Amino acid sequence: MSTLLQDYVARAAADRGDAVAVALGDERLTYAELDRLSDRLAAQLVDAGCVPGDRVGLLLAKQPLAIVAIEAALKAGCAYLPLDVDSPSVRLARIVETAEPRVLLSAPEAAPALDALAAAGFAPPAWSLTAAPIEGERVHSARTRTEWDLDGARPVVRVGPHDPAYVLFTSGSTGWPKGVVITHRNVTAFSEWAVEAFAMQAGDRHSGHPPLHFDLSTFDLHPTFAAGAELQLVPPGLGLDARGLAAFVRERELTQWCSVPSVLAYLARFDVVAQDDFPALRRVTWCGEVLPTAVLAHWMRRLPHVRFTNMYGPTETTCASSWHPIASLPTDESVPVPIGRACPGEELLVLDEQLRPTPTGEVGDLYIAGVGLSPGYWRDEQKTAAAFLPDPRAPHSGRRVYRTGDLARADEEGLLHYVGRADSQVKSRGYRIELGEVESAFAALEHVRECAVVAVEAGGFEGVAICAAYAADGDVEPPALRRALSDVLPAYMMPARWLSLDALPKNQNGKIDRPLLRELFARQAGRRRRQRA
Amino acid sequence: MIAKTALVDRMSELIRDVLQVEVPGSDTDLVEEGLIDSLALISLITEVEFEFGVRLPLGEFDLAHFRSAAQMAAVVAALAETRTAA
Repeated sequence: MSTLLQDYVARAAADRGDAVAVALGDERLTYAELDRLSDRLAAQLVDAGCVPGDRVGLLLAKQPLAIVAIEAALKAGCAYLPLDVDSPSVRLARIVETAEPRVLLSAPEAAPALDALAAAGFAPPAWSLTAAPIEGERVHSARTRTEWDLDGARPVVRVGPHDPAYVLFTSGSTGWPKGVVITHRNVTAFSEWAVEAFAMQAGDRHSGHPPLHFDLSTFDLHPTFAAGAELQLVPPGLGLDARGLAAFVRERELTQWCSVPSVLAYLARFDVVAQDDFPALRRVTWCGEVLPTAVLAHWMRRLPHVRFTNMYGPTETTCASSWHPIASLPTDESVPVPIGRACPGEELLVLDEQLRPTPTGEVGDLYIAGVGLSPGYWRDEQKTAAAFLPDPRAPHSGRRVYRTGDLARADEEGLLHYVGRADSQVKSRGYRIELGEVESAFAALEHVRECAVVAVEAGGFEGVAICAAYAADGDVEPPALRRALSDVLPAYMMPARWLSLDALPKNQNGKIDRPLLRELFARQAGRRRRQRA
Repeated sequence: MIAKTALVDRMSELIRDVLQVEVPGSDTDLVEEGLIDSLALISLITEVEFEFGVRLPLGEFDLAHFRSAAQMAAVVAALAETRTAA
């Protein structure tokens, strides 16, 4: 019998049921509790008509009950669909419209989001995972914990390993988010690799920093449960509190930390990690974007007892497809660290425009093949066909390669180096953002005559900054524009720099001169840096 | 020394320019209002340092005292005074 994702929790519950599976603040669930609660919730999902292949939406903050919801959806044979409670309702509605979840597992505090969804015409039954009912103006919970936490038979639904385990929506260049379907086999392959590569074991305490609608959370959950280890969810209130976050790592005695690079940069910026701090910590990993080497060196000097590992991989190939353990303190802090070598079962290929391998050292398009590859985008054959191509080495074998849109080169040792993007996608705080999505949302606002959204290197710790240049009617205040934009875009997509112009600069072809705009924004920041120096 | 209200006004203006957010009042808690996230905070700190010619001691940084225009102005004023005294 093939392993399915939910088997990890059941196995750990059988082996060491009293061990903590997941904790947040004072709240904790042992493996036995997580297994039992998710059995019960799954049984009620089945009872309510959920069948294999259905999506079960999660609309609640990251908390132990959200993990129960994930395991329950899997046990009911469904794919879980993590939704961002803080996302603007327009965007949330698009995702719900596209993914058609059978049920939304939620909580009383999500009532405003559920109301907004209902107002937009999307109101799948909402369940409260807590004992308190959801009492919105339009939406009332169909069930509360009193109605799902019931003694009963364990559900016996088992899907196949190539059936969907989750669907994650990422930024789409046309302004419509696209759903990435990931199967059980995709995640079990990743989890088995991660457990071995990082020597994860019972007794480990792993951080849970990214939100559940972000692909990196896959690493926090499933490999941790596969190892029977403890998932320590990072309290949401620590987002801005660098010292509090460091205290959390220290006091919870975390042994494994994984986050996007911007979190590591933030902690370094506020200088909250003391020399030889976090004695329990064994490993720090990051994924999602480039960690500035100067930040890495800072961490390595402070924590000589910790191993540092770079991981690389898009959502479409399941969390990470390559890795690079950092052997020693980088000598040149201006050189980015490699994305390394493919994880077992995966291949990273650097190809030219004719899909032929590029010679060593030459930049090409980065493609990924192997066990991590998603079957494709949710109900979007066109986008799937454009990004998932037949393997050029064996076009009729049925094997596929995924076009990452990243540019890379291989060095003499066979290590891969990330070079940049082939399109206008950027990474900010680990989120991938299509500048086209930001721009089309901005252009659609009232009073905006023309606009362009570009990204510039913010320099040092900050990574990439999203910059918006625009020309608007005279009778609109800039803050009003920002507010209007924040009604349709999530916070992480919001431009960090703004420039109001009478008209946008054009090149000879009459197109918006984006290189010039990038230069203008870069000069803005450069001027400040020079003045400070 | 800059008059206190003038400093608060300059700070509000800076916040408005940098973050493109309306600052309803100088005591508005920008964190609570969800107007500041980690990236915005870093940008704002950089701008404050440039605009007022101070270096914020980030190693002892306490976000609890950096949540409104008035609080930020007070932090800058205290730093400027220390510098003058030294």
